[in-house]
Amino acid sequence: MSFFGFDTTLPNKKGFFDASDPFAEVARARAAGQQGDDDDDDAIDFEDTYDGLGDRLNEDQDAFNDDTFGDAGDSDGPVGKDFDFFGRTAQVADAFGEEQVRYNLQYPTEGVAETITQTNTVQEPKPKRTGYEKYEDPGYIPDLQAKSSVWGVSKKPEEPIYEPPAARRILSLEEVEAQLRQSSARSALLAQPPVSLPPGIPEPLYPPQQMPLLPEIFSQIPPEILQAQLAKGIPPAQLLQHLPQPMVPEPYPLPPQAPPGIPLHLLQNANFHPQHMAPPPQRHAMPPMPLQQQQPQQQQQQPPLPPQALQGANNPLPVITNPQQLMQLPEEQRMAYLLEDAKRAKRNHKIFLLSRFNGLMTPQDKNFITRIQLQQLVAAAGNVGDSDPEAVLAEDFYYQVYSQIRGAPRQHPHQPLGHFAQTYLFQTGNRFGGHGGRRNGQNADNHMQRMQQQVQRAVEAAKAKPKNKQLIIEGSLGKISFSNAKAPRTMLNIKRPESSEGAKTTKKAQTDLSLTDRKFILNSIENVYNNLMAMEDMERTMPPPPDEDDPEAIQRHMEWRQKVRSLNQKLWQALKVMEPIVPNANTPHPFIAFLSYPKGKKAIPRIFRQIDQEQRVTILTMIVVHLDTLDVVRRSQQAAGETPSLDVREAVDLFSQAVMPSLLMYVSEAPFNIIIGLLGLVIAQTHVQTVSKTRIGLGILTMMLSRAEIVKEAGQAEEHDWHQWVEKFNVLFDTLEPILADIFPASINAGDDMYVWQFLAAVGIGASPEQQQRLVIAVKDRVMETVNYSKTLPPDMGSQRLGNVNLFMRAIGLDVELLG
Amino acid sequence: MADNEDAGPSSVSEPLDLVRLSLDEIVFVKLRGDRELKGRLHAYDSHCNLVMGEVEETIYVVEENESEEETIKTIKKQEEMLFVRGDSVVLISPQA
Repeated sequence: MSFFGFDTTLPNKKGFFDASDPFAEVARARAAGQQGDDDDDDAIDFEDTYDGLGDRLNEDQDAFNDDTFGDAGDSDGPVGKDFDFFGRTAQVADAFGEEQVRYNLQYPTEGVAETITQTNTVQEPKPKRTGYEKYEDPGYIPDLQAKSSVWGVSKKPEEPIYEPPAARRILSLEEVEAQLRQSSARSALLAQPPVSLPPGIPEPLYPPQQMPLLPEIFSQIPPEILQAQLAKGIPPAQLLQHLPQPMVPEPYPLPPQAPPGIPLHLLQNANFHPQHMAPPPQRHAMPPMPLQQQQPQQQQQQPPLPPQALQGANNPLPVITNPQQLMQLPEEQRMAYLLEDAKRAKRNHKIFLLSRFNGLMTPQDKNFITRIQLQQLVAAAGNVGDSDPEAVLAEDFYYQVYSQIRGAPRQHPHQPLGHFAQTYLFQTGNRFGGHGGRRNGQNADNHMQRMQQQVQRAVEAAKAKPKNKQLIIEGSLGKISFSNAKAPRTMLNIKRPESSEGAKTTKKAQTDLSLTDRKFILNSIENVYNNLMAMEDMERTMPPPPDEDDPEAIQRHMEWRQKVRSLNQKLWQALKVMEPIVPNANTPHPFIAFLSYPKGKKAIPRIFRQIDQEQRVTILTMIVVHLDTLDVVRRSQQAAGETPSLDVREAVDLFSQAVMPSLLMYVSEAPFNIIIGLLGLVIAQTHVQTVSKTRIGLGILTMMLSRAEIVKEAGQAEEHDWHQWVEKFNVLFDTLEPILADIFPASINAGDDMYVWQFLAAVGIGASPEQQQRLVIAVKDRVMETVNYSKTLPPDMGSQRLGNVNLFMRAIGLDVELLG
Repeated sequence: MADNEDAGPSSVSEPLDLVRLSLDEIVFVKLRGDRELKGRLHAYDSHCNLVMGEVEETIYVVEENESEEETIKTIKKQEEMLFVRGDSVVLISPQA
């Protein structure tokens, strides 16, 4: 950071002033000295707001203002009357217009020049208000603005306006000084926005109608520059032609800290950077001689100027200010020139578009916004410590779960920041990094680090802040309650009953009475879900697998396990699986009632994840014992020819999608003796004939039969067990044989009967040859029917039905093909 | 009723807890502007904003014919999924 916001260490600038301006060296040295301190000043800092800087601006330094700007006292009077900007402009507006028309007529092909003029005129009305004014040293701003006007106001460069004064304007240093002294009385006026010309000034330099609006200061500064350039050995004519070019902003490199796309006249307006508050001390050091005063001013103007001015001189294309000159050029060069011009105009326009809102926000505004953002960041990450993942979840549940599912890697694993904060910082870093070409790379890094530190500090501060929602000031009567976006102030304070033990016990007696009440079941379902969610939440908080050497970690792990166990018990109680079975009760068991609701069915897979094998087998047993009272079995009973209602079909589908896989998962790993026991239960406790007429009932039977078959195939079945199984199987077979023809869906075209064939296949595999024979006899009608029916179906559907039949036929060593 | 069933953490302690019991169940919802909904309740919040599935919406429109007799016309619509803004909800009733 430097004086006036430009990098004064630019090498090219040096060439400009080292010959004629010893003060530039001083300024540069100062700037260099400051650079270290101010290096990171461009980072918008929390504490480092403007007020702090403002304190450094000592009002007492205004003492030299008069020296700087001339004694304003004598010329106070006329000041007010002469700033009729609009009127002045209007007076010459016609002249401008005419000139334009004339020019266009004269060179109709030269559209480029026109574009340029347009670009410039567009730039002109740009609002200069930046919001800094009130913070600046009052004497300081105006001359800055005067400078900006040098570039902003000049117009119509292609016109031969500047030719005549050219010779006149090459002034020696002495001349300039003399001129300045002469006009010292007017300098107060000059200090004002410069667009109008003070009346007292003789206008020796320009024919009035040509340069009526050019401020006096314009005539003062260019000679300086010219001189400097002369020292470099540049032909004055070229320089002159080059200087007043309206394109001035364009060819210069943008100062390093400036965001790209800011037009130069804005940069020149020192309001652009907060660092411009620095100048006063330097000004103070300057002796009040007019010329010397000019140095700092010039400095702020010069960085943009020199290098390209010089380059321009070296440019193979001659610099052109006079259209006639252009005409005289060879075609090729002219085209090149026009092309160049068009490019420049285009770029200018682009810059203008980009910069339209530059300076709209003051640093205060930016600070304010940054603070809001940081505050939200803190609020979002505020409670986040690693110690309190609950808060993280509460804050942003879906994002947390999502990122967990995605397994998003943490970018800074050691930072206790929320993902949001990280993302924010990461992106900010990228953005600044992107400017690496223009910016000092180190600077950008530094900025990033500072930002991170700030956020970290803010987060820590927020954590340290007491979480009280109320503040009671001692000796006062009222309370002050805090609120923020995350925890709005409570308008009502209703105490939730803390599930008091007393209330519970008194109601216990009644609970038994209303066991089957619909609302009671729904309530217990919600209970189960609550417990489920609590347990699933516990999974998230699982501590990492304990290290053998770390007793603390082991301790944590134990505590966690303890919690999980107690939650598991709660869930188990909520499920009411262990409620005593009342034989012949006309109300279903609470767990069976639980399963009769869709949401109860849907809960089963989630429950199975949370419980152990023993609990699973208990649930399975419970279901098997109540198989015939299970809603999906009970309600699926229908008279012949009836198709089950939509409700029932949905319930059955849901049961087979939600509950059956969980059961199957258990059964496929269950020990053989449990399967035997379960089959025994089905036979003893339920109406097997009723059960077998339903899809779910058959499904469960199929499950057990096929598991037994697998155990047998694997040779894991012990002789004794196997005997027991065969015994039970025979009972089952005998019970089912009479109704085997009725276990199919009522009509043959009623759709899916695959589950029946699957069941028959399972029976057939386990059956003895004699039983197989009886089986075939029992279902052969249906087999034939289906085979015939499948011939009437479209090929793919037909083959599907045949395939189902074949499932069974193959199991007993036959094939539908054999049936012809 | 609700008092009788205080059991465990999901005990009914505020009116909306009763709505919770109807989650995933068919409910009947009466809305302002002579509208009624019947469908499965998927979600609700403290503002009675609802998300419902398989909804049948019934709108009652009073029409006047030439003889100035007022007839009530019902328009029925079927929606697969519906978000109901809470401020229009008049009542929610479980539909057993």
